[in-house]
Amino acid sequence: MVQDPITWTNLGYLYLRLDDRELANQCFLKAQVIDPDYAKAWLGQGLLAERNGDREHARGIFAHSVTLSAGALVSLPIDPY
Amino acid sequence: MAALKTLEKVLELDPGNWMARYDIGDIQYQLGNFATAIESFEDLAKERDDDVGTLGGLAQAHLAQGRMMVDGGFRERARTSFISAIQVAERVLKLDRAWRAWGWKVIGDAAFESGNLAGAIEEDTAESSLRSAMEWLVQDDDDKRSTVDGLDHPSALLKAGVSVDNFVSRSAVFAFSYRSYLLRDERPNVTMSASYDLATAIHALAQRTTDEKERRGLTKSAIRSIRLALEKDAGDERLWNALAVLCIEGGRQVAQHAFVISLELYQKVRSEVILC
Repeated sequence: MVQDPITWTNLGYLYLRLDDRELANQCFLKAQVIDPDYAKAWLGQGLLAERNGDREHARGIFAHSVTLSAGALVSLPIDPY
Repeated sequence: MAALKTLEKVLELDPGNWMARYDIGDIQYQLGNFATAIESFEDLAKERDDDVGTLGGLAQAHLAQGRMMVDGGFRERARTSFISAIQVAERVLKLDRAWRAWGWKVIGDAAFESGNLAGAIEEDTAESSLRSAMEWLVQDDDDKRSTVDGLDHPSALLKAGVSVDNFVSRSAVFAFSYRSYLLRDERPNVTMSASYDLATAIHALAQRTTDEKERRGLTKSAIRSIRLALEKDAGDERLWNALAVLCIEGGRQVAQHAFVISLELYQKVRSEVILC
């Protein structure tokens, strides 16, 4: 069944803002499974890792998300389109 | 490719056949060879500089080229392409009123994309092209239909002088607003699309503005636009996703609910397509 990585990622960011890390993680994972190259889902995971205090892990994930986006990743992670 | 070969043969026999030259440009555009399409249309435009079809093809090719440059991370080249799209679209607007909705869509899209490419120095170049377009909009919009709640009218933007923040993004909003008005009596899927474009442009501007009061006003305006779009098509998952994004700051329960609806609709739509 085809699913939508953008909306899953957006929902993940909402849960991140609500500090519901478990649900945020589930949403980002869902998006990554649907589209492993969707940079903003990786960015979300990076923010989650940072919030959990795992800065080394976060740094690696951020670098990967920037690579995936060819450097085009903008500051606003929520994708309304 | 067969079509291209045929058209090239036509030109061998009749080098002045402008329709064949136009079609070559169009096919190159459809194939994603935007640079080649631009060359074809520019070549044709040298001889037919008042042909809206040719200029329209050229503007679309510049816009598409810009988007491709964004995807590749080539920001400066992207901005150059978007500026060209704006300039050519403005020429079309001045030639034929029947192309207004199309023209403001191209200008809106190019300004929106350009606004996403941050950088104060780069913005000056885009701003001067858009200033000209906004002057034309003000001239064409006698009844001030392009006014946006929270943002006033494009004439206010022009009067504000050179130090307005986010001039490019503001121009995108006004372009889409005017287009939305021009398409108000069209089919629901057309008016829905126009409202969606307007809402996303307003939201993008709201994210950039540093004035908290202005940000709140713009967000309300964007939500209103999306709600109008949902009235036309409540089954479009992108609209629910957009509503959710807009409500994140002020209405997280609504945002969560809207995201879930979007996900459910996405699965439903895609499943139906596969079964067909």
